Amino acid sequence: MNKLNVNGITSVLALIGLIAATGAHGAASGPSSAAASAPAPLTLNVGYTKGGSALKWFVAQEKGFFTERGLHVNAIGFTGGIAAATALKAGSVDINLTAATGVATALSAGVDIKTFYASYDESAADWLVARKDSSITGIQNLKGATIGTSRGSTAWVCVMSMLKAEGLVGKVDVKDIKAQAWVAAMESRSLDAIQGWPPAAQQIVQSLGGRKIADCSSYARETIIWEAPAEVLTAKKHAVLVWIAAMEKAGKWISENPSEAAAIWSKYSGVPAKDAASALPYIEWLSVKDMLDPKHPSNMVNPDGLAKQYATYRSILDEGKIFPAALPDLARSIDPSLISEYQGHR
Amino acid sequence: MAAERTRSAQMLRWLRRGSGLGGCLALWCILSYGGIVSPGFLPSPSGIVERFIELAENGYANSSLWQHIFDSVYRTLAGFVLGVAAGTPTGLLLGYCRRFDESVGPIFSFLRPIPPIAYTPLFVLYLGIGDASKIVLIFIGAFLYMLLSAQAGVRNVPEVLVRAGRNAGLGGAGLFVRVIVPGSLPGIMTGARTALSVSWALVVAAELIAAQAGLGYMVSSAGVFFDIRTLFVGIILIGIVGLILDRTILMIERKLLHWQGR
Repeated sequence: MNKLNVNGITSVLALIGLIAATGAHGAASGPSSAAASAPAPLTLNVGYTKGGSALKWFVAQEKGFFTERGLHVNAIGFTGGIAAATALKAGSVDINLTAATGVATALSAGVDIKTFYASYDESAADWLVARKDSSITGIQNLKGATIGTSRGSTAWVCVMSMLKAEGLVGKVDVKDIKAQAWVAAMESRSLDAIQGWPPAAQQIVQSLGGRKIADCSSYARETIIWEAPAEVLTAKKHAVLVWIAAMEKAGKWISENPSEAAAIWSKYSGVPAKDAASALPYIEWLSVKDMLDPKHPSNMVNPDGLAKQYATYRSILDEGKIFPAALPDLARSIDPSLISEYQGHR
Repeated sequence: MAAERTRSAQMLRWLRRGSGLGGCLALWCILSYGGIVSPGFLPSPSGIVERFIELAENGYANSSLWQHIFDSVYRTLAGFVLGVAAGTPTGLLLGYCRRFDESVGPIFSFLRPIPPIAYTPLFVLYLGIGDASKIVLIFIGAFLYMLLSAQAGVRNVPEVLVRAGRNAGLGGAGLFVRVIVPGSLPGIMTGARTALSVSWALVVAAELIAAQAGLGYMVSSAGVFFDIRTLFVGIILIGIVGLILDRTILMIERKLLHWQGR
């Protein structure tokens, strides 16, 4: 797991203070105009998918990392892509936690969406879990099996990449099962295995005695990102920079306090704390430094990082005809300008 | 002369019926073709027809469009027929036999306010991801409606009919079969019509979580990926099939209750 180095948060705050003091937001000098231009409270409307692993955000919220920076965050939980994409389009949500599929959905909805921050990589925590009494012991036994996962999700892209890589396309029945029915579908013996994201996959192993068969790290990287319409990044740049500082602090805090982090995750997602704790070691919490490191697989600065992942997703989603029309280049949404600015002022 | 008057009255009635629909369609055209609402939010009628043709030719998510329609109709009718078959006699007995009502009535009063959709995860757990879990869900909804309607139907049988039956020497089972059941039919049929609408609404909800085909599945899946045109095609098809089902049961009601002049 990458160690985070965010000791320059104070520098960012100093920069923000400097911007405010010099009237960078258009304030004129003089006592009367200074009173009239008292800085408006910073607010961000933040969208996330309920039941997902938005832990960094949960921690920043729970530990008050936003409020201590004067940022007020309105949390808006979604259950599906259309609500998030519509809310982004309508301007009810400023930034949204998602993955490549969410970026594809927003682009399809005609939103000029930007990927401005990479939160974590969960590919090692996205597991193929076989039912405890199934005969599946490895990928080699998958022929003829029935696997459940949510169609079009990161886990689905992982399964499709896995089947492709292992020459099993057409030999495994992949059923579309929404996350809320995974446990029930496994228990009812309707499925041989589930491809699930954290912490649900770990919960199936811990609570149902499921057997981990494989994870996604060898097949499809799953970087979970934050997206925002281009105009929000311009209009609310100040707030987003403060938000990035809080998220960086949260990432560091998670690495240092894993059991407390698991408890927070449990509180926000409803998953038992022991299952959340078992998923934590498999998640790589990304820092701005990682996002700007050209050698990191989730980097946002060269074609070998996030852009490569987006190309894989685009091709698998197009092959699966998930969207009604061929997808545009998802990598065009990657915009590292804000994280570069954040890093430059640390 | 009279025939002409009837014809023009009929035409006027059709015009009135069509005006609401035509008005909606005109408003839709103005909003979409006029560029007032973006196609990302409201596709044009021609865009939806185009998408319907594409879906009819290529299907959606590995199933043909007809398969999606058939699966939903099959699940609805199976759950509805079972619900009517079980709910009607139980409701008649509840209405006719006070002791039976006193002993089992509270169970149904407890179950009635629970939205059947809340049982979905349980039914997936007990019955798996196939049709059975969805059919049972619809059955519960239809059963509870039929139960209530049949019970109310019995209580609404005119007292004069019951007395006439008794005067004719009927009692117990005879009175139940020859007076109470026919007298309850109007209530039962109204209940059946509502139960069918509820069943159709439930199938859409039942298909949201673990279905592989069906109009509810199509709508929910299209929604996740902002496939607005497919979403509209799905919603329109749900409306059309729902209307056909409603008209069908209305026709059955008219045949069965011809003596009521319905």
